[in-house]
Formats: sequence, C-alpha cells, structure tokens
Amino acid sequence: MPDSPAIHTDHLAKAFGRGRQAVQAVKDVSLNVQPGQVYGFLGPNGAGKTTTIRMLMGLIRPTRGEALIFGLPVQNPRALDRVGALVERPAFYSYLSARDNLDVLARTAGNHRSERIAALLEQVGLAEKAHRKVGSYSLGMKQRLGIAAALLGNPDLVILDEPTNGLDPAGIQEMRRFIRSLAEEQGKTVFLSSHLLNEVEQVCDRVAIIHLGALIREGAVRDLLAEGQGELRVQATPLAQAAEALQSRWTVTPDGEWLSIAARPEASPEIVKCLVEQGVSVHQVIIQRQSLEDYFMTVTGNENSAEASHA
Amino acid sequence: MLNLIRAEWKKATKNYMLIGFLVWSYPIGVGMLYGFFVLTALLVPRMRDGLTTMSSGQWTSDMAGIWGMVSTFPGNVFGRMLPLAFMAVIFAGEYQWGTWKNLIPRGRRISLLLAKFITLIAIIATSLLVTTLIAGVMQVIAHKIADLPYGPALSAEALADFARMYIREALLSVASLIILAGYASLAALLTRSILGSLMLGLGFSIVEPITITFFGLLGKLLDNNQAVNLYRFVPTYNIDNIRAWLVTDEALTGMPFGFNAEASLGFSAAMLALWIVGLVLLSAVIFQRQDITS
Repeated sequence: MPDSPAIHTDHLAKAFGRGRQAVQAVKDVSLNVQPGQVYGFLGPNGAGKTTTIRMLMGLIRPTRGEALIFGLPVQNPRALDRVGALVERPAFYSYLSARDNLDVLARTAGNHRSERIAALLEQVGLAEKAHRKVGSYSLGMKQRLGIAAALLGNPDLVILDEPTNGLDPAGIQEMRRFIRSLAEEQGKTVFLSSHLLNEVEQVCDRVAIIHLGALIREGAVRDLLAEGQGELRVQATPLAQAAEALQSRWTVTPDGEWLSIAARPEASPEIVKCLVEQGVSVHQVIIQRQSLEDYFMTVTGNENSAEASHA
Repeated sequence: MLNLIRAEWKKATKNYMLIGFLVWSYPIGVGMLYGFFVLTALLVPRMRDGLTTMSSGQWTSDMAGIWGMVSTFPGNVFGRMLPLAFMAVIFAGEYQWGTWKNLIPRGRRISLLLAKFITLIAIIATSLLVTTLIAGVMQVIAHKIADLPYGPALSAEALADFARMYIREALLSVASLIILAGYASLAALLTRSILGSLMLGLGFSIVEPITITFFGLLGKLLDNNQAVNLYRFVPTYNIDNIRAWLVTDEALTGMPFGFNAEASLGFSAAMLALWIVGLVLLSAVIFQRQDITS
C-alpha cells in the first residue's frame, strides 16, 4: 500500500485501571504521518507521548480507537516489520556486549546479518567498544546503541522517544543531523517524540502537540508558528507620541526605550508608515518571531485554563 | 522459531553468574562432591568403605536416578529450587530489565514465550544429562578404588534396559520441568519481578507436591475419606504414578493419608498433558493480553 500513511491513528485512547480508579493516560489522539516526514510529537512529561508510542508498537492495547502502520493494524505481526523504535530509556541486557545485544534482537526479528550489525555499530560510533558489556556503558552510549537497535531491520518508519536524553551537546547536534539524514538521505519516516521544543523546531517538518492525553494542535511547524501573533519591537522618539499613535490599532506595551507591539511581521511597514505620518522618528524595528516554545506555552496554557474552568 | 531459540540460548548462556550458580551447579556440584570423596579415599584408605554409600550398586540406576532430583517426590521439592530460580530470571528478567519492549515488536508474543520454554528446558536438561554422565564416571572410579563390583556388565540387553530406564526418567523429568516452567512463567507474568516470580514460583512448586497433606487434612475435617484422592489431579502424583506403571505395571501405592485412587496410566498421562498444555496456554493468554509498560 504505497499511499498509506506511515502512521494513522484514529481516536486512540488508553486508560489504565478500571472504574473510578482508572487513569486516562491518552484520551484522544488522531494522527496522520506521511511517509518521508520527520514528525514531531511534542508534549510535556506525562502528556501521554510514551503511552501513544507503546500503543503504536503493540506493547499496550488501546482502550479505544485504532492504530495503523503503513495501512496495517499494529496487531498484525507484519505491520511492525517496517518499524524500528527506541521507546523511552534504552534497555539492554547489561551482561551482554553491544554486539551480542544487537545479535539477540536481530535473531528475534529473524533477520540476523553480522555485517548489518557491524555497520550500525560503526554508524553510531560504538564499533570500538562493541565487545564491552553494556552494563559499563554511559547513558549516552546506551542511547546510541538504542538508535542502532531501532535501525537494525532497516525500517521504513523510525520511532524515537526522547532520543537525545543523556547525550552531551555535541551528541545532541549529531543526533539532530542524523535524524534529518534519515529522512533526507535514506527516505525514512521519523516519528520523534520529545519534550524539548527547540529540538522539534529544528528537526521536524510537522508537529503534533499532546497535552493531558489529548492532541491539541497538529500542523506544519511553519504554519503553527505563523498562527501565533508574534511581536514587533520599535525604538522611536518621542516614545509617548509613538505609543499614542499606535495603540488605537495594536496592543502596545512600553519597555524602556522600546515599544513592544503585538502584531504580525507583515504589519511592520504599516506601523512605520503610521509613526512617520505622526512625525515620530523611527530608529529601529525588530521582528521578534515566536518560537515553538512560546507557541507551546500559549496553547498548553490555554488548554490548562480551559481544563481549570471546566473543572 | 530456531532464530528465537538461538537468541534465548545466547541470553541465558552468556549470563555466566546466573547459569553458573543455577544450572551448572548440578554437574559441578556432583563432580566436586564425588571428587572430594574419591580424593579422600585415595589419601585415607579407611574412608574407602564409605565411598560407594551414595550408589545403588548399579551404574544404570545411579545414572538414571539423577533425573529424579527434579521429578520424584519428596526430593523434587528441593531439587527443583535451582531450576525454578533460573526460570524466574529468564521469564521475569525481561520485565525487570525493561527489555520486552525491544522484543515484542520483533516477534509474536506466543513465539517469544514458547522460545523461552523450549530453551529453558533444553538448558536444564543438558545440565542434568551432563550430571548423569559425571555421576556415572565418578561412581565407576569410586567402585574401582573401593574394589567393589559395579554392574551390570556391558551387554546389548543391559544397554537396552538402561536406555529404557534412562529415557523414561529423562522424559518424566522434562515433563516435570515444563510444569515448573509453567509455574515460573505464570509467577513472572503476575508479579513482573524476578524476586516476586521466584517467591510465587517457589510457592507453587513447594505447595503442589505437598497438597496431599492439605487434601488429607481436608478429608479429616469434612469426614470424607475420598477428599485425599483429589491428589490424583496433581502433577507430582501423576509423574510418580506413570513411573510406577512403567516400572511395576501397577499404579502407585503406599501413599499417606489413606490415598487409594490408583489412577490408570492413561489417566495420569492425560492429566500430565493437561497440566502442561494448560499452564503454557494460560501463560500465553495472559501474556498476549498484557500491557507492557516498563
């Protein structure tokens, strides 16, 4: 099925426990991840990201809804043949070497090839330490081994759950480049779960934001950022006259020698024109783009408020 | 399935501490024990008389009898503790180490579970087989030193008898080990921890053979002398009863608490098969429906 989405979920939900004791970990997640995308799955800790991923990997049975991988239900054993995943923190047999751990996983999947294991160990920078027991590895090394394990079966879809945990800054940069290269050079679909907003902003094409178990936004990163209001900062004299000229049309907040104006970047020529017409000297106009972090805080803040007022 | 078994084999056999203490301790322990006796007898001549006290006087019985450690009541209550601990680690380790999440997406759950059963039994059976060989060789040496006869003499008939006895004991022990593995897997599935699995598995394993006491007391309490015969549904009884039928062509007798069920060979074989299939199936069903959250 070449046209099937890499991931499709339809009102996916999961509750742990029953009756009044039940904890609704995921309430309603509907996603469509197209092949070749790097798709960010963003949410604070406890939002339901890992539970959703575990449902995608067939580790947890959904209470409601369904999940399809390349058009096949995850319950179908063939569905996961095309998926490689690093779910939560990496877990391996500490008494086995990295090579033996990969060997065990490859055999479990029925696709054991020594040369593939060697190539992956080389790719993640563990070739020289491949004979060492994993128990002696740092978290960063285990994370690299987790990536190698995810790529073992040369999957079309790679699911990475917080892949930069435990990595040093250089490792994080390397991981970001690596994730992009998976999509751009190898044509893989990457589903990247993270609570690190700048990571998602830098790496992903599209992003879904999950909060308190429900999907609250989904779209291209660029579109989501454009959706936000943004801010313009203007340095002008006299400042009081400038504020007076603008406040009839925009929300203006004085900030020292500057004015902060809640407006989209496209409004800057109009603002400058308005100020000049009022005889105000404009020294500088700075467009402050909204970061994903600002956007995230805005939407999750709104959801929190809605939740609180609902309660 | 072969690949899955090879993966399980590697995981189990490369855990040197685990396999050294819980599996190879049988052949190593037996070898060291006999070695100590032989060495002592060589150094202290008056110790030679005691050298063969552990022997039945026949290498056939001595070797085949080793299998009984895990299948014959009451020895099996303790004899099964080390294999059970090994099984608990193999089943529950995946929960404790968080490694199920790597395995389940790569294979069918039922196959993953079956591979564990097969590998466990193969490893423990190999260990017991090696133990029987070591025990046989050491007893030959001990009898030579003590200058005692050690029969039967090698002949086609003796070898055929030995093969029958050995295969019978090995198969009964393997059946007992599968049931033990069933207890261990259930305990692991329910507790998701090595210690929990070990404790609960030991509970199952110890309680099962001594349920005759419980049924006997229940019978006394209810003034029903048939209650004790419920013991005929318990695996340990059926293993011993099958052995009795194969050796003496009669049902097992001489049981305490007035047990007089005298189950047939067919009944015991069916009951044993039911336990084996039931425990494996129950484990598979629970595992299939289980959420893996670690």
